[in-house]
Amino acid sequence: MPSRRRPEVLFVGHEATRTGAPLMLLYFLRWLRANTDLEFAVVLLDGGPLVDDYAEVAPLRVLADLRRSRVSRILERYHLRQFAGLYRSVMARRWCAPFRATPLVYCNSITSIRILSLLGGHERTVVSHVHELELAISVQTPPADRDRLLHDVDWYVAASDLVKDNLVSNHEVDPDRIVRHYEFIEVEAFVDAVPGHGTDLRAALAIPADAAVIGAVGVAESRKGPDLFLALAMAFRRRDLGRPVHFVWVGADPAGEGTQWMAHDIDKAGLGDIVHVVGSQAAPAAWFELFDVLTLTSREDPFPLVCLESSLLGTPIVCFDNTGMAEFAGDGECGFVVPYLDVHVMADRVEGLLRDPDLSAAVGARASARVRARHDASYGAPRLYGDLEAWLRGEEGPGGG
Amino acid sequence: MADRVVVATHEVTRTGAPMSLLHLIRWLTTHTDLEIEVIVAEPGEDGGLLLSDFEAVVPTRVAPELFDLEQPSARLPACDLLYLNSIFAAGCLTHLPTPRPYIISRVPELAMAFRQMLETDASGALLAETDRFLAVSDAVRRMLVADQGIDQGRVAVVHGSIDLAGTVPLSDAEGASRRSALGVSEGDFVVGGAGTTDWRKGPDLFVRVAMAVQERLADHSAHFVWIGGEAGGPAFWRAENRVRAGQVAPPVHFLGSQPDPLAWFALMDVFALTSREDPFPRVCMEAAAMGTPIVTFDNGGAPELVAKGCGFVVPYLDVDEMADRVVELLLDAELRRRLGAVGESVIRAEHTVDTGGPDTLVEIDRGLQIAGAR
Repeated sequence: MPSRRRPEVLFVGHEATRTGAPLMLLYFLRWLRANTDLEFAVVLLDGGPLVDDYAEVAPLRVLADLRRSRVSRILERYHLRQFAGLYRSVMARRWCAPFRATPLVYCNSITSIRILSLLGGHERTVVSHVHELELAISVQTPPADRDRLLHDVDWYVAASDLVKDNLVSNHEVDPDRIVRHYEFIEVEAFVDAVPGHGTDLRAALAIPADAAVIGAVGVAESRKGPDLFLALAMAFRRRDLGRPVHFVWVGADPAGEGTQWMAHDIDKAGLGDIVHVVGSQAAPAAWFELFDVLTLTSREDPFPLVCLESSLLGTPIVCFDNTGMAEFAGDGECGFVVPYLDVHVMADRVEGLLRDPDLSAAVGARASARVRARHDASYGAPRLYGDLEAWLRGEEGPGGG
Repeated sequence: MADRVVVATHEVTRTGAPMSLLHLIRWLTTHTDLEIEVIVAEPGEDGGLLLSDFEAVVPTRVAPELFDLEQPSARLPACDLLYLNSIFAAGCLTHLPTPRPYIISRVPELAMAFRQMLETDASGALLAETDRFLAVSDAVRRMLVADQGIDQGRVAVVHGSIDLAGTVPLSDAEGASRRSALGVSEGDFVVGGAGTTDWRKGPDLFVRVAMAVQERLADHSAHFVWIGGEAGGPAFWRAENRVRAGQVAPPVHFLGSQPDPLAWFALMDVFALTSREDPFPRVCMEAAAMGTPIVTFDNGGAPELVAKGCGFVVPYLDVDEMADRVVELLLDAELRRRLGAVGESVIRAEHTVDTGGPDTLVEIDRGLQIAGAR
């Protein structure tokens, strides 16, 4: 889509995978395109399955495409690696040149803040939408990016109160420069995409018709706690619900080391009959329909979209108290919150939901209503846009949402 | 003329496999007239803390080119026997000298590590060139024969061993000073763990065992001390601490790599092995040698040692059962003493370098005879 005027905002994403932060940015951009006349462009550091969706809403450049460019490939082929690198960095600067004077740069997720090095020292407002907690910031973010996050950013958007608290208490960010906007999804589009073939999935995994199914969604790496999900399965070995209980983890990269360890643990602990691990799914909705309860076993998680999606479909969630979802769940309001790492209390809560279909339905219904009211793009996007407008006008003191 | 043996090791970190090798070589140089040279692929993650110890005993050189498949012209020194200390040293098998030596590959690895190795380009050479595999436990032998389909005639089991020479018992004063440095009060228990702080060794499971033990100890408290790996613990654990500042976490101390592990094992009341995969952990032999009873999961080679009466074996991943056993031991000093005494005598009788050295030498001599007859 060609731009009519010079963009007022450059949105920068680190990739276009079907994961939380890239999805939410896409939802926000769609809403902006449909509801405002804000002029904006998008630069992604890396590509992914959502690239075409991004290209539909804004002029798009994917910096990783430079790797696949003809010149770069020729240089690589002739072992002129340093020239290939130089060529790419020159080209990346040239691609970014039109955005040097863009008044506002909106970096979605910490990694994308790297873009600042390609834009040069022009006067601009920098906004960082932080979807990360401490492990991601202190361990997984390179020091140079962390420095930019803490020193080159004018306004922060925090994905939950937990994210805000972490920035303030561990990184001394001025709380007045942080606005909290909870993540949102596209409610109607998600509901429309529910295929309603949960029974097929059950059959495909050979899960008995009367079995309860406990689900979890995420990549299989220690941050998401696949080991704690297995610990939950172990805890259920000592419980008798009068029917089988099965466990399904969705989103494990088949080649990933964490996935291999998960398979190892399942095998050695003899959990193979009741624990099922599947890869990333283009249509997660059918899986949420299969689950009786969705558990969030993450060691840290700012505000995972999968929990909103699951809640929307009326599947109750149980999470640890160290994730942003605790702010959504409340105490039995829209889900249950249990002490971090305490898989037995988590098992208690899950069992309570499985034994009491009325409770499960009531919690699920409240959660679904909450998502529709507070976590649809139609609620979240205008509020975020309100702050964006204020920043564009150079106003102080935004509101948050 | 003395027989020439080249020993290849992928690293010289202060971890199990290089330490066992150092002790073996010390034993061989004092008990045989073998001419030994050590070649090292890379110093390793800790910068090669054991390199100078190797250099003090035999000629040792770091020679990455001898393990690099992209440098086919590099050649190993001529020798009668080539001894690989780990399957991760297999790169050197693509640089064999002429005439070809007899090749022994020691395997201190189980399925996950073996699979990683099979993904490398040197795996073909390992499986084709090795004349004799030395499995460090029966668990490893089963993996090689049953999973990898290696002919059982090519596999011998030589259990790991440790060198206790020069070990000084931990004095009461030194013990007390170490305890107080960690903030361990009089009467508090110390539960130990050990290993690098990566997923394989289960530092996450150790933290959960700590929580479960703390919950079970009504009138007592315990500290949880992990030696080895990253000081401060695995990344995710540090982050957990920070995010949860203000909440009561169990007192878990990740001390990092320690120069005197035996003293730390002596300080522990119980040693908990939380490894997801461990072929025949040196740390269990060290704990047992110091009279510290062991609780281990039922996987890898550790149960082969513990079944001799120096601790308890619990089902894999069953953190609660492990915590139950740890607490049972903590609350019963007589039981600790009894199992600890068994451990001490088992290690002294079966797992010091004075038994492991001769066992390995039998295999080396056998190989040298075959090489000589070729």
